[in-house]
Amino acid sequence: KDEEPQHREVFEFEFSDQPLLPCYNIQVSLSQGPRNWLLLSDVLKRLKMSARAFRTAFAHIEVATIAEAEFYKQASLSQLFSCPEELEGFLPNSTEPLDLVEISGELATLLGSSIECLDARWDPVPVATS
Amino acid sequence: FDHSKAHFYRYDEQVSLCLERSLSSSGRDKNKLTLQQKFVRCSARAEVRHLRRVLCQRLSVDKQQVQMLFNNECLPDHMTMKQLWLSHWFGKAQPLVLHYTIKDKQAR
Repeated sequence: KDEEPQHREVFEFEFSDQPLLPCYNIQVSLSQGPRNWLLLSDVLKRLKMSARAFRTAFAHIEVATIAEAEFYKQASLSQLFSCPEELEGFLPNSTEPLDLVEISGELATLLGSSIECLDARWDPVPVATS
Repeated sequence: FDHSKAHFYRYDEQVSLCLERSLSSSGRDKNKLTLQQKFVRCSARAEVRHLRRVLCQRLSVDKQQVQMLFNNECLPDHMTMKQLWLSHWFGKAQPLVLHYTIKDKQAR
């Protein structure tokens, strides 16, 4: 029997006609595991909005805060951020807070992206591959 | 701490890709068969076959018509984006650039 759609594990593919904002896999609190976050400052730049306007218009979108040093520590552990230039704007010892917003369908749509979903089981593994 | 969904693909590390249509594609309708939104983000656990499948959905073509390439070499269906990244793109900036070819349906 199929699970409820919201509990089903699906691959999500975000498509955009402009380069995607950097996404960071970060654990911001001990009460939840790692999630994927965008820097609020990147989002505001892309949307050409002030932080105040964003928080007013999208009050339901949670903004999480993390110390820059902790953010750097976690982001730099990723093998996908192996290019030194990608994290060079961050200060490894700074205690300044960084605002993050979690990636969601709503945020992706706001940024002009569209989402395709794919059930991993939809395409069964063939016995012989080409 | 709810661990029940921690394995979901949406919480995985994400890879950022740029999908360019290969010049060697033989598809006739070039605009229709070229992705308008070529920047893609997905789980590092997604495999080449999943990428092919979503491309087919986007471009309305059969799965057999789409081939994913890196440096002109065809990528195996079961290679994950993380494997691809570590073996071909480590140390480089995002996004990872991949090519795709669309074969004419009649050519099969």
